[in-house]
Amino acid sequence: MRHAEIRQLLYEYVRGELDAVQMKSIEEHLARCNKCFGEYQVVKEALRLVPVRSEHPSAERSAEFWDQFALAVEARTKASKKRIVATNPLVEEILSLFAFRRPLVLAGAGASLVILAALFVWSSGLLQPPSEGEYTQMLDGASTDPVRVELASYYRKSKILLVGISNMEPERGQRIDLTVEKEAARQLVQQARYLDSKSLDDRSRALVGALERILIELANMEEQADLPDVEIVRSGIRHDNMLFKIRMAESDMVVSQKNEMQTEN
Amino acid sequence: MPADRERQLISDVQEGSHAAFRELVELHMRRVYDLAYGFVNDHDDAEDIAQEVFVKVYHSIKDFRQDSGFGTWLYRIAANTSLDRVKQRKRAVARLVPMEESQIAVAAADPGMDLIDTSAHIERALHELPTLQRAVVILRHMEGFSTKQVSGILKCSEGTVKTHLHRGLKKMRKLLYNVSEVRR
Repeated sequence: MRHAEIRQLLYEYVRGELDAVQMKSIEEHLARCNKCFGEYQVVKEALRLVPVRSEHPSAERSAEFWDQFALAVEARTKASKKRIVATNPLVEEILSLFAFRRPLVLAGAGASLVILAALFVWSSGLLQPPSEGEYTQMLDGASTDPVRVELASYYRKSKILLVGISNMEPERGQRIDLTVEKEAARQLVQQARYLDSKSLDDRSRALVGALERILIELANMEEQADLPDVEIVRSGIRHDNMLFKIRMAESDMVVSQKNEMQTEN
Repeated sequence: MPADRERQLISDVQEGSHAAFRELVELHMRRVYDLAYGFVNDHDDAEDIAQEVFVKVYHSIKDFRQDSGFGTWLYRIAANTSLDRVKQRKRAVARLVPMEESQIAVAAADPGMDLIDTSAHIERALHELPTLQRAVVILRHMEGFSTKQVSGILKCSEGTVKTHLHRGLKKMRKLLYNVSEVRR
């Protein structure tokens, strides 16, 4: 073997990783070549000074850390997905269902069809999308039904809270301050309980109940939460397509309100 | 884990299985973390890099072809992501002042210096190596990948791996030699 070849094999030679023939060949070469023997001494000394890692750094992390690791990756994957897709939150809501959850693809496709149908209806003039002014009008007492006013308020505040939670982008490894969100959730749970005691149509009751479950989960979280905890709430929002349902319910309420006003006139 | 099972997992992930991706992450997360730590020598950074690696894997696994080794592909992403982080760090702050041999010797003369300090000197010497040499020393020597695996991960010939390993260790030995001598 040539000198260059010998030097390339010195690492394995020092560690005894070569086969017997190669070991013997190198041994014989080193016995008669001072320059390569010098290189051998250098490698041997280097391996003494730079030991092979005896313990893996990963072993210094707790079992809990590793239990949460895949979840954290999942959360980060979804966050990165969100940055890639369009900024329209409704589109984000739908696309986020596709991440990791193939079984929900059909549900997502179904939701897309519903959205397209709603857009078609809106563009046909049969259903006008509600404006902020219309909500304000309802809340200001244009509606004579106090339960309806309370319901509109509940939907609007819940939507703001859930959008805020969905759009949070905390720093990696830092805890998230949820003091304000927890307080808002607590107040909304009270509002939901008031609505529970009133006469509501089945669809509204189901939505109030579904929202209430998410709000209770949020109200019960620690004030300084970890990202995985927040991700659980987010996944609940996405899984139930909650923001879309709220928007549809709000639209229904405005249409219903308009129809009643027209009938009265 | 048998190779067949891993192939099945990859196929499932490519079809969108969340559970399969999680299993794949759990299968490789510790080794990816160790590899990242070898480059950055910091637990927080290693965690961040390891997560970033799997996010990249998730977004590009649809293009992964089963005829090439998943491990090689994964650790190539891990090595590249780690190297990018090291470059970012160096650009951000020139906090790692180039180490002079005399500085190591002075530090080593401190009788209170313990094993942690020794480890720190090795890490600093490691970070004095040119990028490819450092990657080879970490992968081949510290993480125990075979020469063939390292050549696959770094996309270079086995001869190049051996040459860089030899040169890298020689340079580290030179940097650390004075420490050893002063301590004797």
